Amino acid sequence: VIEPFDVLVIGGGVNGTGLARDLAMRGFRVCLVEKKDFASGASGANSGMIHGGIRYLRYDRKVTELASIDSGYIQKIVPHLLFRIPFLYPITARNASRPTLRERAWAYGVEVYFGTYDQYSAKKGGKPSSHLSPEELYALEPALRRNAVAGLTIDEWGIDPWRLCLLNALSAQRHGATVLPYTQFVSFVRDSSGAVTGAELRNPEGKTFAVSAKITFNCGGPWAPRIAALAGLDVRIRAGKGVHLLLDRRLTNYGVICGAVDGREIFILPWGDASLIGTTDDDYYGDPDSLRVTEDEVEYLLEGVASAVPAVRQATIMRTYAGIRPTLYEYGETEDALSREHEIYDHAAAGVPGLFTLLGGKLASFRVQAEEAANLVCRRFGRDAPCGTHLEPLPGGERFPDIRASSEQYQVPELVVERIAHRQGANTEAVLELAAREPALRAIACPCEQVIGAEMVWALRNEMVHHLTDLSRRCRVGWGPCQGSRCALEAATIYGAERRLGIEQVYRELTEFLDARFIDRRAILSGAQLAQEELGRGQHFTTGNLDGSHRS
Amino acid sequence: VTRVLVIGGGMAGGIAALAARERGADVTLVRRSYGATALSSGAIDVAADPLSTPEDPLGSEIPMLAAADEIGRLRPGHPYGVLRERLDALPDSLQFAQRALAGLIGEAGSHNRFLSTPFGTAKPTAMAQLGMDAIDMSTIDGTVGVVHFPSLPHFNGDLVAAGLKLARERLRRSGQTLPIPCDYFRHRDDALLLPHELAARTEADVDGLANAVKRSAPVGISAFLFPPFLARRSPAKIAAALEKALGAPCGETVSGTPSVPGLRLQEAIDDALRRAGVRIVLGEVRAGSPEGPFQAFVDGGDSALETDTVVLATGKYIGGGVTRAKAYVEPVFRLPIHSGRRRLDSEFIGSLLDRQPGGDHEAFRAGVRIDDQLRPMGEGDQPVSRKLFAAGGVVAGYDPAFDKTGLGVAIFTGYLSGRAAAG
Repeated sequence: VIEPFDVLVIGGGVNGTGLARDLAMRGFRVCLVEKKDFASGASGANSGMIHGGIRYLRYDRKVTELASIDSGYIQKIVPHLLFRIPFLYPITARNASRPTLRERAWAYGVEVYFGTYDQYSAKKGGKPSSHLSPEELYALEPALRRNAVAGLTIDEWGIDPWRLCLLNALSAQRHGATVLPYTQFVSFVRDSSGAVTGAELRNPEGKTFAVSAKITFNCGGPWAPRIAALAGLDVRIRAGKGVHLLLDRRLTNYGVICGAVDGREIFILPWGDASLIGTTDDDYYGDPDSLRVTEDEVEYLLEGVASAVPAVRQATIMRTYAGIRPTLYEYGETEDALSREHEIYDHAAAGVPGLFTLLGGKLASFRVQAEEAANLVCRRFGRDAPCGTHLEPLPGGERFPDIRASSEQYQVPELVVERIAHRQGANTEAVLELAAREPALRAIACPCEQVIGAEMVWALRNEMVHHLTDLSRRCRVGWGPCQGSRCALEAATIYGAERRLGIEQVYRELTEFLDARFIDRRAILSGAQLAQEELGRGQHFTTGNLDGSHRS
Repeated sequence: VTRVLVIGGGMAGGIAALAARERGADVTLVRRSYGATALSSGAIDVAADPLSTPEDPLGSEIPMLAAADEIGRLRPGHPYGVLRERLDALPDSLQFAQRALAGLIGEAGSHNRFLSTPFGTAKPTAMAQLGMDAIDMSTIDGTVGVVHFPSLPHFNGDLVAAGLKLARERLRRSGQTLPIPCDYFRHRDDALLLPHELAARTEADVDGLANAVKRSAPVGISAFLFPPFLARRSPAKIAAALEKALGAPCGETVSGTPSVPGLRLQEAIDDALRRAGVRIVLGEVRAGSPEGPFQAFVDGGDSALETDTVVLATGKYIGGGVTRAKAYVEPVFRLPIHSGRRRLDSEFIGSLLDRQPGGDHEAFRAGVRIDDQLRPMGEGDQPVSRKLFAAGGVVAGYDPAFDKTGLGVAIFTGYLSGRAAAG
């Protein structure tokens, strides 16, 4: 049993880590538990947009406003994780030289709509939208199909959502929180009155232990209903499955909003060396632990993007991922019309005092959601501690390094330094220092994502890595086009050496890493991707014999 | 003289062309580019013991031929199952391939040997490149030294030594396995060199390499293992020179991709084809009716290449012999695709996959179903033509990664189809 806590936070997604940080900064004794790695659920399976959500303006002005304001704060506390991503919205007509009256009315409507969004856009440091002629549109984005009558721009921001969650957790830890990834929540501990007074947890070795806490916050996202059910509560979400595709190259210079076959808006955007396509939104009734992408969903997204960017059919899909939006429950609405509003439930009303649930919300407004929840905790404890999460930078966000100077000083290519800088911010020089001390760590271990060994070792020493698969979320190892054919063995070797693991455990970690990568490719094994798969299987199982000799 | 057209120039196509040529046929080989053979490990897998397990890699210790027969019995759709009555020709085919590639490939033994890999595992395989096949983890005793270059991170001697220690225990061998760090590639930018560039360096300076190893090796090493880039072209020569200098057998591990041994193998096949007088055409076969008479149009040319028989040896997904866009297609003759006995068309990929990447996937057994004369089957249970044969990766029912029978099946089916095509 660890010390008694003020607050136990269940869930290592953006809501859980954000709340743990806020509470720890306000001086509460906090315990954060997550059953896997940080951001391994929905918080790591989204588009990574810190946007205002122009889409939600139609249904939910409040969400847009809140997200825009909070996005502005998030940019200030983790500038190194952010990248600007302007979007183009082509307004199309069946016959671009002679748009119909209806098409012209639509174009006008869209322009007014974008004008409305400009009021919010400024709050997050975005430039106002602008109107483009078709010629200007094609000059900016030559890959577009030539069926536009006009174009509009919006200015958005993208973020590395995996590191955002990690940095929140690290910051919470620095402010005194006990942070326990790979720790399973088993059940609630309740007193005779039925109040929740803590929880039974299971550590990675399978040992259960109890922690006591005055307040328990359920931040389980898609798992929140299951957690609440263990206290006999009925918390409902309208689970929405969102699928993303990653292409092996940058097809566009800007984000492009495209219309899918059913009229929904989807997008393609440049993300590092890749293009990201998203997203579907379908009701999901299955087990959140066994989410799978289907070939239908892949084709739906490709068809939609091809309507605006035909070259998408020539690209290779590297991988897919899926997440579940824990949207608030509503009956009788389509998935897109569901509110992205968040909600904090005090289950005292249902006879379970001491337990709260924070549900729904947006990545872009996680901080203000956490602030609201922490304010509530303050009121419960009768404490008057101000929120500081919008002022204090997250670890690494204090300063952006001088990329060229570091590149020269440490003799590491600028491209590599830049990538480290956008993950490590102010810690970049410390990472490069490792490489300087141990020259083998200067070599590029993951050629697709240009990750050097030193960054892996830094993550292993400082970023709560429990398994080799976590390293992908820390620094993208194995997420590029080869999907681990070239880097899995090296990453496992570095991991094993750093942790002094026995060889059998190294093989186990390596196999789990390959298994995890494979899940992301199952729905895209077609065309050139099958050849890549044959190559990767040859590497690990024909040459490497990692599966033992033969199984019949 | 029978005119034979071989489509595909990897191991299966190469052996088919050589076998047809040996029977006096006039052989043309059309190839698009290098494929899976050029990416292969340097070892030639024929049949791992199907009764072996990771913990007991020796399994029932049956001879390789018996293992092939066992695989054929357990998996009737595997080429060893389809051709089970003809398995007595398997040793002939291996000998034929070994003779054709004699400067590079060593002879097959009666049992599998266990060769070391860059993963630190020991891999059961039938034959391998000279200098690679010398150090068999299932027979060697004493201290094995794993030479590595700490400045090159892509081959980690500590991991390989630790893995081989475990592998040798499981193979019931005694003796130590030691990493031997060597400062040969110590220039700062050496880490950027590709394997074939490293191989060109060691090939040109074997004395320098031997001296560097001598400086760091402890006494009493009974065999030295090197990373799989000892030589760009002839590893046997370099291994022999190192052995002379170091006083113990020297050899490479098998290779992952990019693979220098794979390139060597492909080049040795090309040399053998040229020596045998096979006409090699670079290009793509566009059309042809599977019923014949065959008229292949190569690379957009207008004049048809006329032939009496055809061997289809186009490989699987890497080679392009089997493709899957919306549906499974064999692109040259539009032959139906099967996995074992199941006809594959446009089913969802998910139903053809196992949960783990190394598992038993129907998708990776996809190919053209053949009869025991190696003739592709049409939509019925009848061969589409008496003059069309198939060999290697394009044949249905086997998965090199899972069965560990890859290049062995390529040689066996290549040999039989080449002889059949020559008439």
